[in-house]
Amino acid sequence: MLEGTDKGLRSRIKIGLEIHFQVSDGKLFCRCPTETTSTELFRFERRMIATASEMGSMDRAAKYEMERNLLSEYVAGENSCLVEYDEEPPHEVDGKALKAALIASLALNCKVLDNIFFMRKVVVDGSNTSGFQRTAIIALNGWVATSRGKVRISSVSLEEDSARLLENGDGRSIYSLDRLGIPLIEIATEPDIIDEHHAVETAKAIGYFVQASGFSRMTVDAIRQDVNVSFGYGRVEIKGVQKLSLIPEVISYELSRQESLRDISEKSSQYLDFYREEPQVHDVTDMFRDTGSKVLLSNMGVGNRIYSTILRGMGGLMKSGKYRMGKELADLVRRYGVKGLFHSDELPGYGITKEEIDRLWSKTKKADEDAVLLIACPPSLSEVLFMEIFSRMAKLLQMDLTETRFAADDGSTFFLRPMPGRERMYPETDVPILRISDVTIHAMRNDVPLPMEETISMISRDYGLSAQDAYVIVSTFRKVQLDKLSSLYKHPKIVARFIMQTLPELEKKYGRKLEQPKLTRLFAIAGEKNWIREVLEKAADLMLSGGLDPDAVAGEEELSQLSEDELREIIVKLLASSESETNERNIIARVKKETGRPFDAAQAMKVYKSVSKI
Amino acid sequence: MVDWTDVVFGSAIKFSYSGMEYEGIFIHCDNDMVTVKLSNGYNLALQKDQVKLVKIIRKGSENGESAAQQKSAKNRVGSVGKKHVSLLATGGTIASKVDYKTGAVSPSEDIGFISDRVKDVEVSSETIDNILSENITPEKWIYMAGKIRDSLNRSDGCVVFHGTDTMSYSASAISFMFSDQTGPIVFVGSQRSSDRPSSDAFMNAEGAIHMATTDFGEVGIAMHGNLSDESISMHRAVRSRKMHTSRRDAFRSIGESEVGTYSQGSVRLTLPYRRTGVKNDIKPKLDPSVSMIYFYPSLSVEDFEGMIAKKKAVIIMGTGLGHVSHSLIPSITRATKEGTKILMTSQCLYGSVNLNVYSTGRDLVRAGIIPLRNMLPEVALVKAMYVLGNYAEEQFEEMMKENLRGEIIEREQALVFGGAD
Ligand SMILES: [Zn+2]
Repeated sequence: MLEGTDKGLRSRIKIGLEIHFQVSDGKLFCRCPTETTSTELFRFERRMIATASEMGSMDRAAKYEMERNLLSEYVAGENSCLVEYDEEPPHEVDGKALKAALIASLALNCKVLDNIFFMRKVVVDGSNTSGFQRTAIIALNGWVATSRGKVRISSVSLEEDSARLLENGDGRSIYSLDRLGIPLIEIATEPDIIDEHHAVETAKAIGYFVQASGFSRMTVDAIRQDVNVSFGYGRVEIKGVQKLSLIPEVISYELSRQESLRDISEKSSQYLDFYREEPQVHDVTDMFRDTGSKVLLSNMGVGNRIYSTILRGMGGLMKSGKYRMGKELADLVRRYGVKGLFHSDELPGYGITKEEIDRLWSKTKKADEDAVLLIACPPSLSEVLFMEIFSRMAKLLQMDLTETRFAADDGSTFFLRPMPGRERMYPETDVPILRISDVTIHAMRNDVPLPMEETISMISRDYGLSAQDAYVIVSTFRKVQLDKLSSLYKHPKIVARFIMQTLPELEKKYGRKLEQPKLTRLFAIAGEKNWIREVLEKAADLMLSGGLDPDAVAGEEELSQLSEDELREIIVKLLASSESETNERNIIARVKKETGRPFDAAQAMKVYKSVSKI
Repeated sequence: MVDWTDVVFGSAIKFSYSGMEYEGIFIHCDNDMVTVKLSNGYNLALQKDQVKLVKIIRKGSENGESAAQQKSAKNRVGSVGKKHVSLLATGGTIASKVDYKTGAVSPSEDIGFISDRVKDVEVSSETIDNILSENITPEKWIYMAGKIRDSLNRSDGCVVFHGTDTMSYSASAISFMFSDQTGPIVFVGSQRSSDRPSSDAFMNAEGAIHMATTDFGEVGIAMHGNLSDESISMHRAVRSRKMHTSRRDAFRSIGESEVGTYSQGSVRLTLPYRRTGVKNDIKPKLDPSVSMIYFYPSLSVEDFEGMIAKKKAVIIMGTGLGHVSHSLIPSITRATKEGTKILMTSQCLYGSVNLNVYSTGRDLVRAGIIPLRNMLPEVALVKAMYVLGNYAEEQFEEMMKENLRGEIIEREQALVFGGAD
């Protein structure tokens, strides 16, 4: 259950999901591969311009991004071509991606549209070189079964993934083009989800069908969830929830955030008009000429000025106990690249002295119930920044909490941008409308995955896995991986253990991930050389610890399995040394200690038994 | 009972599809397809027999959007100290606007929005034509030349918005027609329409406008210099060529480097150029009786003769140093004897034709062919129209061989053999 104490807010919860799956087999509108090396070919720069959006009006998100007027720098690698550079019109839609989206649509009981109509969704933050994302609805109006009833599917869409952000700051964003154009299947549910556990179950059920179709990409960020949640104060869209297990934390965080904001609003709504009228902002740079605050000094050093304003009624609500109005504003100004924000709940502090704040309080005429905000920023930004601050204050005090937020890895969320307006799409005329015939649909019915329970029992039967292991494989979207690796290395139980247990442990231990192509190659080698489990695990260990390729590792001396003679030699030596008793229970561990090389434990035991009898 | 024929573009409607009701904006309906825009922005193209109109919520206006979008051409009031540049729109991608509902791109009446970002130059704009540049004709060049002269008479420089496909032809034609000019004439186009946030139209126009404030007394073409929005290159019109179908930096100077660049508010002119003069002197005549023949192996005598028949001049794009098959030489001899001017350029684009190296070349000279050194074929075409239109026949060969506007490179240097950068 959620931590929230308030039955009122909790009872009004509505959750919807948008899940994005990358499709693995080449990009959506060109024939570049999905995977690439890290080789950088060249870079180029673009400045996005938002002129007009659909129906003649620019939406808030677009305006917001344009106000930032960022320069975007793109790093082009080997899996990019003129299409990704926005230097050539899109080619035909990739057939495999379309097929994957159609199969997912059928599996989710949707009505597939007769005509696929690609649109341009305007995105001016630089994450697309064109300034828009190509997207089309493939199917509408379906459902997925869960233990707590059907969850309706609003739509299944096919779209291109955006460029990957590498660095952000100083008015410049750097993006890699490796991800740009990878097909994404987006599945959106209606807000039928009852609670956070139901959300996880629904995501798993949907994910099962997509991955079971065999097209889903299996890398760290290949599946991304957006959680839409409402507690009656407007829809909050939380982007970038990387793991299913984070969904409950994110929802719980949002509930307590909204509860705290509601308390703040109840205490302070009488000040609403104050914020609507845009309070006075003072330039207080001269008061801090001799300050000890490093942040303020470095800001003044680059020509920024220090501004202050009073926030009526916000004393003790900026940061104390469960109140965090300060973070609401800090998130906002960070989007403008502003790092120096202080408020009275945390002052004196950060090198700002009691004397300095006393002068500041009297300058801003702070009363006990008020808070004071101190911001260092470029003079050109101050007007728009304070306008944004006051309008956000007014919006929050009115409990209009509609916005787009982003999920951090710890389950907390931060303000990303206002909710995008509606009118930000127009037709992609470079891509012809695709007619989907009944014949096509009919032919694909055979490819629709079996229901989850049937797949579990099939895996368990065909691979000899326990029902529990088969469930874990299926519900963590690893069936395709298991199928593929087992076809290369014909020991499905070892493969299952490796992907469920050994690999995650090694990845955690060395803090790096084993990429899919390397993993596939490793199992191909293991199959060719007929490695035992211990050799396989040792090879993976060497790959992860040294960042090596499977072929390089395969030739390592350390990998060669101990022969029976070598085992015997070690065991005889162990028995001869008289430090403590060697017995059946510790012999394997002791051999391991003696050698870095892999060996067959069963064989070692056999040798031990034969040697110790003598 | 409401019917699709009752609905006008832009109306808010409720419709049912696959058992669900949706609200949206009506876009279009034909015999078997209905296009609607959902409230989330997506357009759906639905088979008519599967979708049912439930009701019209609010009637739209047939042309409300375009009326609202099209403001009249605006002229900013001049202020002291700023240069004044006039924009002339002839059509093409750069002067187009998209209809955000249908996606259709059409010429825009108001091109001022493209140059709104330029604050340090006074800009006035006028739409003089609305064509896709593949439909350009010599008559239109003559009309264009008159409009450019008029605008130079009341401003410091002129920028011409033009489709990129034939921009080099048009700019070269204008270049020949102006024997003197009081301000720069800068042609500019775009490879990405202005509806895209990534459009090159704005930066190209900004560069062109600034180029038009200099003392460059020639005709140039301003476009992206590379894939980045960092600098705009200006090419001499008579040495420029569109060398890529889709890239922003499609235009290249052939055989010489660019004349100048614009970056971060300032222009640098790096090649020698003609300075602006004291009057706008044009010879507004072009004789379109010129054809251009791309020689290829297997080109038949019959086809060749068909293409030179009744022409006053013929530009051949020969192979290599300027060759065509021996089988065509009798036809060439006959035509030149009858007074047809036949001129030789090269398919190589880079480098000069030279008819003295091989026997075929020498035979072609004997057949009466006129070699045009390193003049670009398209430039030779419009130059021939210009020379035929304004000079006596006896002067033709001499004028064609004379370097009038920099169309011939006197000393070709090693480092400007492009394409590989
Ligand atoms: Zn590509």
